[in-house]
Amino acid sequence: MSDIEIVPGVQPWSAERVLALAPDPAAGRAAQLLIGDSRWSDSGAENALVWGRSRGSASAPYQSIAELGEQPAFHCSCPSRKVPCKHVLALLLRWSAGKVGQREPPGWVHDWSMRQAVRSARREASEGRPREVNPKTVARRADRVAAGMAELDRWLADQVAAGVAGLTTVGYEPFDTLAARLVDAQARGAAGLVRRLAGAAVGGDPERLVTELGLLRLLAAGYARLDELPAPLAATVASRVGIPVGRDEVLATPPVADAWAVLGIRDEIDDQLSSRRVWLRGCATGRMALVLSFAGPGQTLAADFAVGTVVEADLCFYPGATPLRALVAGRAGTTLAGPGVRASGASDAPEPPADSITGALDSWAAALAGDPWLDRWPVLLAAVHPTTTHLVEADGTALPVRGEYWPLIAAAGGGACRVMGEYGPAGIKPLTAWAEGRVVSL
Amino acid sequence: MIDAVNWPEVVAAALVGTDRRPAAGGSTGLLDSAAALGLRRRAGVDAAHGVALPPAAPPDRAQRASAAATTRLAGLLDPFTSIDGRGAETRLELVDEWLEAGRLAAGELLPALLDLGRRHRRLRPALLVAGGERGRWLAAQRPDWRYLLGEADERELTEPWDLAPIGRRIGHLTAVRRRDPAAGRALLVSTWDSESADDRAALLGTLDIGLATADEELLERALDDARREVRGTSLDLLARLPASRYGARMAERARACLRVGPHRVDVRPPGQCDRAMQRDGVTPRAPAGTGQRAWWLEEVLARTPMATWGAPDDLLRLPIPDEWAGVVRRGLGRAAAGQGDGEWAAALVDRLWPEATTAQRPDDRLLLEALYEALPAQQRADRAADVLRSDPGRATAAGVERLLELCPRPWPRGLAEAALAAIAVLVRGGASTWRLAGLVTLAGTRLPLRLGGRSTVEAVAWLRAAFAEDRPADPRLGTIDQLSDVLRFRHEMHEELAQ
Repeated sequence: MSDIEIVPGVQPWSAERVLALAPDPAAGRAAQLLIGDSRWSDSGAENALVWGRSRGSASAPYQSIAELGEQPAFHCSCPSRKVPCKHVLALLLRWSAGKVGQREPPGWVHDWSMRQAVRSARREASEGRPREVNPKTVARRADRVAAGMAELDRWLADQVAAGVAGLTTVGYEPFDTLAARLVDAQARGAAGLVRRLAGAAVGGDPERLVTELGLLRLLAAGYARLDELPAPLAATVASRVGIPVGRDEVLATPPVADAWAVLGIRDEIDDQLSSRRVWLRGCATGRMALVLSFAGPGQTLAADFAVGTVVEADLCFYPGATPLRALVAGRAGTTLAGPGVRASGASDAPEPPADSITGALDSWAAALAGDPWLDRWPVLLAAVHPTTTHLVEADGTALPVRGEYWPLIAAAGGGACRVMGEYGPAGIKPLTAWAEGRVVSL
Repeated sequence: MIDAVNWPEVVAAALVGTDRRPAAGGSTGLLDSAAALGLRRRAGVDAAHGVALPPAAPPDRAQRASAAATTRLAGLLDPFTSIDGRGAETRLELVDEWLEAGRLAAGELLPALLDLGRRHRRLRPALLVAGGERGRWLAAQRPDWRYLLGEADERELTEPWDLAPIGRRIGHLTAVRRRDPAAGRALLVSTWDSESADDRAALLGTLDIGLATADEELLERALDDARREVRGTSLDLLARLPASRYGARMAERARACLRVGPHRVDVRPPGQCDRAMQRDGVTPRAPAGTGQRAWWLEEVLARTPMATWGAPDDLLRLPIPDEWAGVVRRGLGRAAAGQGDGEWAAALVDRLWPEATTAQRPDDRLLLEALYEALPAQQRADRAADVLRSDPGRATAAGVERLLELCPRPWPRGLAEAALAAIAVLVRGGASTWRLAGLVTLAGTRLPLRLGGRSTVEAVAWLRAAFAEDRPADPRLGTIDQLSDVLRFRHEMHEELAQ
């Protein structure tokens, strides 16, 4: 029933589109309970600006405003930190249902709108300015990293000399110490890989342990020879060590324009830092892309993408031998694809190419060739039957699944469906399935 | 010197260490080999082959729910969504209502639904329909979901009867008892003497299914058991057996205590509590605040089969001496509740009700709640409506919420109107929010969405508006809003399910 809509900023959005803005599903469902007429007063809309006042449990009503456009902005006076909060979502749902009439914005809405315009102008100006870098800082940092990596190299050699069998029983502490020193040496990436090594050690699999040790050695050796490496590989090594690349530098590279299908989203919530991985695939280029966003404690993750939609955008990839991480340089509006299936009627939503298992494994191998430290690679499998242990193709070829995914098994019903997941050395972790004409997030 | 060129050798050499077993290139050289070979293995991994395809689920013919309805159900099942923070019970009722609409639930929601249905039996009938063929296909794949297929955990015991763990034995005995009560009893009798006390108590309870006169023998034996739980279970079951020897013994004692004359009832409470009475379950020690003989009278009456007394009105219309009236009613009430006698329960509820609301003793309320459960289903709604109409303020003291819980959704018109009126009265009368809360919570999920041609959501909105005019800042408005929210949620849910 859902069609493709290319939405200008003025026509009321469909309820589905509004709910796609929700920072998490809980906010969306909470919003559905707040749309009653008795709650809202003073609401109105003018073009892309929608506002209203809602009565909550506090004595004073909450004021909510939404400005929809290329970069939507939201505001609400409620204490929630989510953006957009459930009140804004409820307001937009009412707008979508036609319960908000066109009016002149009152003073408080007008003021906010003015301030918002100033804020976004200021932001654009600052993003355009190139950042000044002090050459001495750069040099000092390079020294510290080199020292850290050299220490790592020596540590690795010492371990192998003494025999690494003991590493499986020492617990996390020696690894944590090493990781902390690497962080001090401003080699955060290497520290993360050391934590991965710790996992392999404690996990008790000697082959995995030896592989990870080898890969760390590879990183240290590569960093020592950074100048001699071809540019893309050098960029990958530098990135894996943890040397940051500035946003402007990335945005200066030639963008890749395509219709990017949002394949899956995975969040990792930590008490220090939460991260969101949005996996995309270009419908024309077939390229995989990863858009990362972060949120500190108390912040909400940005909700720019909805699984199952196709976004026409320009992506700038971070430099590397296996380009994967990217920034969105520009967006041309969202096309809502009928979930994974060509919508009926004249609409022709572009579809991303999907692979067979063999094809996916080939892409994994190619990816590793460019970035040996990869531990998860996006794969979009065209037609697999999920079981409790594998994703199986019609001819019996199968990939092991990490864990039991009953919702996936139930949704597929023994039939074949398209599945997107993160593939790693231990198997595939499914994120999204397209079954029975629906997009299922797992 | 080891020249490690293949993977197993590299691993072994690394584990042992190059100090002990030198390798070409030293430790760094070994690490380089580890990197190259390890990476090659990782990249060169091959897919598994020859894996069997899963069996396909049979196709479903019933109609699927719309996308909006599916999202709504997903929200209800998501443990992190709050339905206005009001908890599991409301959420369960809403899920039940969704399932009863008859649309097929989306496949990916079935695992959560099956887990929910395992813990909450009342969802099962609706779940069977809403799950469709896919649900049954899925349920067959996991033992904890097989309940959906109607097999009550009745796999054949893999070990001999007396050696299996107790949980399995109860399940097995229950299933056997359902199928063939005589066989179940025979199985229990075969090992009765050698069972441990705990096991005896648990297993005896299964005789509840298919209880018949043939079970009396075993139950009488159990009356002499050393363990109190065993005796207790046996007494409960014997009290429900018509024409048992136990029933005859109690009836004899009861008739001695309560002489029903043509114009009045003579009450002669038992003078003693002898060994025989104790064996038959009469507790000799009265609770604090109750006289001993009064207590024995109550106990005897509580265990006497209702058939002893004939029709309720014949006894209850006769005057009973004031000092014993309460005791007699309580005793008869406990008997009616325990035996599930609907006729007596109805008669006693009517007579107990005025006392319960005035005195407001928690024991009275508990007794009333037990009697409500014995009421025949069609009378519950009418009684509840009466109770709410006559005295909403004290209805809670009489345990009306339990009665309302027993009235299935949606409430019939009479009850629904009475409930709304009661809420209005309570709100206006300044009832505390906790007293309102129970009634409002039930009303939210049980009221029909259309009442007398008008939408219930509108009716509540009107109620709210009228109240808000007088008292705009009243906290009770929040309670009414909660009611509105749930009703509106259900209204939209039904619209989505009708698409």
